[in-house]
Amino acid sequence: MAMVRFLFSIGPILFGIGFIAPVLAQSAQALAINTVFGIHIMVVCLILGGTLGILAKLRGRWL
Amino acid sequence: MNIDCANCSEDELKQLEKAVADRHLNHFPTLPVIWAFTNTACWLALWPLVLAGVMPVWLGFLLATANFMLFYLPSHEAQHSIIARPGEKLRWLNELVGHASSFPMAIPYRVFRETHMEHHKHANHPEFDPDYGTHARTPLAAVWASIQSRQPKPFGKDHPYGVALLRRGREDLLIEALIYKAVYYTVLVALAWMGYAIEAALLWWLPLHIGTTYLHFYLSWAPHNPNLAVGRYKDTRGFRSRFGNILSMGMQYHIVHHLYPRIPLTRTPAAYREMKPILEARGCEVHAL
Repeated sequence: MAMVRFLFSIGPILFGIGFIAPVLAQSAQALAINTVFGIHIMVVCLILGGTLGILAKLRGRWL
Repeated sequence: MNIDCANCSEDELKQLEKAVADRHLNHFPTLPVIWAFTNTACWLALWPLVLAGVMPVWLGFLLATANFMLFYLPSHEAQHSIIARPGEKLRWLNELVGHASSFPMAIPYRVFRETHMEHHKHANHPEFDPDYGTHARTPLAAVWASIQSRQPKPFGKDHPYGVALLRRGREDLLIEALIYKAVYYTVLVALAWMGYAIEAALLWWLPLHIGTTYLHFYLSWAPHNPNLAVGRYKDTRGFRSRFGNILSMGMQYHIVHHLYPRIPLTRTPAAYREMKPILEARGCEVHAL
């Protein structure tokens, strides 16, 4: 139960990395955007998704 | 049928109201049963069609959004045991409809039922009504309140459904809800990393959010707002939707549902029309419809 609680407590970060990042990356790739400033789009989206997740975790809301 | 209730006593109003309700209670809700299985089957069918490239993802998204707008109401009929009560022959069907139309929303049927009963018991109570979070002054504010109610910490607090379950001593349902959420997010993440992120977002994640906003608006905000109080004849109203009865999901007549929750959705308009003079005599807000 403690593990479950921990996972849900960091849920927004996991969601940011696990779901938002690939959604953004695959959307960008569909628009033929494969790199940003020479960095692979997946890396960029992982940073973006992770940051959004951390912010959502700290603020308690995505929007 | 016209009833003159202007000079009726409390007892007479009660009897007249009950007589109307009795005519509409205990009818099998055929449409919601067909609706439940058809809607769930349609949504499930979208997955192979879209993933195999037979259907474009934008069309799958539109259909999935419609599916999610339609998932809740058959479950709602089951929550009130309208299809069959405990112990009745078709109880299995009642429960099957409830589960089949709830699981795509990633909330267990039993959680919906428990929290919905709390809503009926405490409708419009700021602390005890689990659906109170959708209260807002304007339609636009209601949409924003709905979005806010689905944040990690809705309005800076714990989720009202979880709070209601703990208050009711139903930790078992809280665990069930956590399992559903865990499975939902695991499937989304798994699909995303298998290369189907856009499909997962447009067939499940986004339609669920749009459908929930729509449901909150018509099932929770419109019939219980604005300025309604707590109490059997005060906590909901009859209202006229500019989009008509079907697109507002029959909620114009929600007052009948709160008075007699086991009247099937499809019979509430007729029950409302028969009951309206009684409701007017009781001072209910039914003038718009």
